[in-house]
Amino acid sequence: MGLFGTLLASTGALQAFQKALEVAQNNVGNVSTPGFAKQRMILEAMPFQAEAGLPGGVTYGGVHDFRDRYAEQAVQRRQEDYGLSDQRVADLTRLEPYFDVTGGQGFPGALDGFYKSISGWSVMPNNQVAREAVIEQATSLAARMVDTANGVLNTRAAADQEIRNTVDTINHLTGILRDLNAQLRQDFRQAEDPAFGARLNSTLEELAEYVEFTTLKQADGTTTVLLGGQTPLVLGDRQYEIHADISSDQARITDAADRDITAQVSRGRLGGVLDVRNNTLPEFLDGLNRLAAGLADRVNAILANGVDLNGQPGAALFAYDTAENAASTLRVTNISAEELAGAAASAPGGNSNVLGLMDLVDSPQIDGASFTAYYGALARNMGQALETAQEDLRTNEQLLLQARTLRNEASGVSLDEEAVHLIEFQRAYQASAKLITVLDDLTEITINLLQ
Amino acid sequence: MPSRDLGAPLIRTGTGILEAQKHLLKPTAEAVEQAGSALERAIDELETLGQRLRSGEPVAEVDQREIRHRLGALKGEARRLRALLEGAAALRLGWARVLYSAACGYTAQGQPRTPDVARRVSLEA
Repeated sequence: MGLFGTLLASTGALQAFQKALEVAQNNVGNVSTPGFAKQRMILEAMPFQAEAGLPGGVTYGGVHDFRDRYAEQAVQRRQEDYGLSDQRVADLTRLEPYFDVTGGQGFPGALDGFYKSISGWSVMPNNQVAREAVIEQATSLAARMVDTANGVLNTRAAADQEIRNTVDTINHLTGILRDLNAQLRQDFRQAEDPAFGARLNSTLEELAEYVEFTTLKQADGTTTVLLGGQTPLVLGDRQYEIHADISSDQARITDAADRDITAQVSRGRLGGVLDVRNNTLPEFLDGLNRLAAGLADRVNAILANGVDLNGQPGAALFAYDTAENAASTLRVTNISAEELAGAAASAPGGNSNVLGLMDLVDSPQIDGASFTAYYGALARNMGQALETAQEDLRTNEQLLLQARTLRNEASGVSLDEEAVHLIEFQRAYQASAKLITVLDDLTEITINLLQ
Repeated sequence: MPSRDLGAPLIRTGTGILEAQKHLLKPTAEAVEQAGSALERAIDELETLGQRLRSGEPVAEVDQREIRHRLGALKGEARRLRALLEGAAALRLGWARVLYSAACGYTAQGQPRTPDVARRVSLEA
């Protein structure tokens, strides 16, 4: 091989290494770019045959990126869980203040005030001031119940808006994915562009925060996106928008053909807000309606058994429209203080009917609980739901971080290394799992030592 | 805050659990092993507290409530720890399945075939 051949080989190698340097610089420059995956240049050996004038050396053999599809999908699944729990925390935090049981505020304070006014009335059954205090406290009680119910209804309205916004965001993101697919169809070489890959993957990761989906890589390089693994959102260069229907009691999500696909949405922010809107809020509203209707019916029934100061049958103190909206429509009738029936028909002027009202304080009224205890259970359920959601959020934040760590490490791993690591991992896993069980048991034992 | 003597093992238990959690954020065998060491320290501290309570050491009512509250919080952290460990295992095993099936194919039962590493010898200097 002559000087010319040697020079050719050196030039090829220099060009290849120049390219490698560019790839390395690009890696460093994009270290914070969302969705970017590290790249490595492939060096290909050139044939070396001195007598035939083939100079050998190396040449540029293309760029290979370290994107690991499994790790990407693991991050997306964790992102869905994170979106779900973060949305639940946001919605339940909005609801919590309406179920405050601390201090004398809100419905529990008003119920307590109503019972105290009845107690005062029982001592002076014919006293005008004591009777007016009962009507005043009943008015306050009804107003607090309406406040609480309206709080739940306002939270529902906010959830409706949240559903619309989330659906808009999902459609916006799937629109970006459609455009990326269209770009790819126009120029398939885009698939090798790291910036293109970064944009595609960061969009998919963002979408995962809002809704669960699966992706399929097509032969032409485009990405098909299926909501819940079933409903197409993006097919090639076509986008299928989803829609929110909040016109009925249950919010619905429909596909481009107006089919109900709500059941396919259970994760991501959309899954979280739908769960709160369709399950959690109706449950609390139903509880408040039962409480309002139960309290009004029971008080009115006791009053109906007695007679007022004029010996007339007792009039109703509370009213509401229907059992389905009792909490938001609870009010005091236009009853006067004289019309409150404090006495039994057999003993006019007495307080035996008021004593019947006093029994309401502790006696079981709804599902074996007094009105106070029933409200307490509702508020407790609210607090527990929020606490559980906050716990889930903290766990899911950490699991997302864990999946992202795996993704960052998923570069250039050999099969041998992975097999050895897996054996080591299994051993460490078993030991740690046992230790967590010991820790849990020991904590329980220590708690019991205190009792 | 319980009396200083009783509060210290609780704080050290909590620190051990948080340290274990931090290790488990990295789903590698080394990290899980390090988490195990931190857990062992947490368990030791909890055992020390248990022994002192068993020995009949008087504990004020207010301290009992505080300790119970803190132990309840520790149980919550232990639950999260378990979720992280299970998460690490799921990620690692899932990844291994993908790698194995891509490189070695599937068994007749449809499971990814595992590479034969038992007979390999490796030397590290």
